[in-house]
Amino acid sequence: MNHYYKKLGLKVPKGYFKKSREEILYKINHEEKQSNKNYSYSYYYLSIAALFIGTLIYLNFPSNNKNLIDFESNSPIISTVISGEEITDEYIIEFYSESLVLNEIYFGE
Amino acid sequence: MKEGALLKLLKNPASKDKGFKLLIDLYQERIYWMIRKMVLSHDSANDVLQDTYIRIFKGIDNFKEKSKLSTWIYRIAYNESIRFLNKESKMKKIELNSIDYNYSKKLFADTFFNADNLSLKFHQILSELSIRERNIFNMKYFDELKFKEIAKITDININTVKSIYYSVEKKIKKEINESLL
Repeated sequence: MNHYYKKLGLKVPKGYFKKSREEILYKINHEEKQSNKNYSYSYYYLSIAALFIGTLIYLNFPSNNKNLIDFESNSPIISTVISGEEITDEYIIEFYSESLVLNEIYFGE
Repeated sequence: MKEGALLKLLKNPASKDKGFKLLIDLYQERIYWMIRKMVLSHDSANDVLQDTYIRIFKGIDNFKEKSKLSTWIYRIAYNESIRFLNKESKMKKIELNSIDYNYSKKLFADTFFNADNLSLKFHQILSELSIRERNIFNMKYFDELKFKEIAKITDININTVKSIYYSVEKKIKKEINESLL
């Protein structure tokens, strides 16, 4: 840099650049902490929002799809899909016998 | 230290702080004087310098290396100074082609200004230039930046930068010589 400009009468306080360096580093440190704080705040709020939405879905889903769930959970076909077993006559008889015992057979409308 | 090595330090989260300390040591004075010549008062220059470094720190990860690191830093400092001047003038945007009629007022109001007669004459000539002319002259004459760099920093065509500089230099030389007679 051409230091001639300083001779044009523009001056700085004694030890300014050393002091300024410390101030800049302090401010940057502060900014960094602030942005980390903001990040953790947004993470915190996002977690709460996700939990809230999840709860809403959990509470609403069974009531909105009651028939579907009831049908699926009581169907021997779906049951075989879930359990991975082969659909055989024996399986269907066994399924309905078990359901009769539990008194939870779905007869439809 | 070479720019490439400094950039490596700055872009690595583990060495960013160390790199930034080096960046301050390398550019702090140069940037300060560029800002000071634009905003004139020491206190204002100090504020703008700090804002400039905060912006550099926040933006370094997005620096695409399309220009030299120093040019990018000067451009941030230049834009921060213009932003400060806009805020100070209470206008949305200062007219860079116009004269800053508060130049002398700002200069003499500053505690850290004490000039001899020749310096005062120099300031008088500078105060009669448009903000754009003054910035270009200062960057070339005092900060010793290249025309190409000034063009990138100010976002002005390089030929326009050259033509502005040479006409201002001619004017200043003539007036200084006349005042010495």
